[in-house]
Amino acid sequence: MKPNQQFDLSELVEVDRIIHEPARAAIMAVLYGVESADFKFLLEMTQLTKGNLSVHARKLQSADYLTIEKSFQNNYPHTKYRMTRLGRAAFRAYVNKIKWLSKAVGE
Amino acid sequence: MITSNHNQVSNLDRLTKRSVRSFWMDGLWDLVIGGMLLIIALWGLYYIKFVAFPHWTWPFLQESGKSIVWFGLLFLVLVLTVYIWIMWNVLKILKNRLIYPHTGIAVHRFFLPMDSKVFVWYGISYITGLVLLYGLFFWIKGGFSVMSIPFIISPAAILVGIGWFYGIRRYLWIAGIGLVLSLLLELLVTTQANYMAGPRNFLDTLPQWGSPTLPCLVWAGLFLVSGLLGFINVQSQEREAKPAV
Repeated sequence: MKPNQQFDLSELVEVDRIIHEPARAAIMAVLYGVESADFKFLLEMTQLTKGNLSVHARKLQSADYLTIEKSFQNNYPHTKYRMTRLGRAAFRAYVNKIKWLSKAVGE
Repeated sequence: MITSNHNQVSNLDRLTKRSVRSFWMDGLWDLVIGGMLLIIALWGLYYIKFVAFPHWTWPFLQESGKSIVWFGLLFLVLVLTVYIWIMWNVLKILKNRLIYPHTGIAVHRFFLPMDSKVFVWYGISYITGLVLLYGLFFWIKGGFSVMSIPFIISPAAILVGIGWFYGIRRYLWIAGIGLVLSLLLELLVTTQANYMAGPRNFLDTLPQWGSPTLPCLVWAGLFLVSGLLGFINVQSQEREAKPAV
């Protein structure tokens, strides 16, 4: 459907509900720009709390949108996050959908 | 939910750009590139010395004839390879000790996430700029300066591209200053006519033998300044962000 055609509410329902949550969208946006990032980097970029970041990252992992690797660096736990190919495609589709909706409602 | 769609997209776009931008913010990349350009410029000075003024060089170099030019190129590649290897390790240490403890670790993508339409327009603008500069140089200097123009315009194009797409203001300043300075130096200081009449000094040889030397010197200086500014800026921000004990 083109934006100038009549707006169909069903388009709203088709928005990816996993990504359509501000904290998760922020995590996806940061990871979309890089190959991989650690917990500290995501924390600095998204300004989420540690607990929020962990919970939302796990939710994205369960949807196969990102992978989480836990390891030790100099005896300190280190967590690395990487967006999967499915995650990249889903994020691109989500951004396109939101852009399309913006045009459709004439924002 | 619908009314905030536009904001939502621009916020996400800003976050993606911020994560990409973090690669350049600490200024270390600029310092490495500045050092590389300085090596090329210094090598260019010796190259001119040998090719245009053989009596300036050591006797054994004169006896070796033109093969020394190829030897020189090989030497440059070797020096740059060693430099890159050393800097790779120095960067790793600096990042681990000074940058990552504050910012966290991110592995950046080799190909930047960029809209294909923007990329095409960027390419067209670059080629147009290149053609215009060739025309301008031919008109003013009365001859082709094949080598110098890519060395003048390419660093500017890279800096403008990164500075504009990812919002790094210091790159836009450096690109503008570098472009004006290297163009003025190339157009005003060196002339094809002086070279054709027989080069009397170092500057007269630049249009023919060492044309990348001047732009490389200008860009090297600016990249080093930009790197230092970035590094100082990031370090001072981190000091301010530290909570009082």
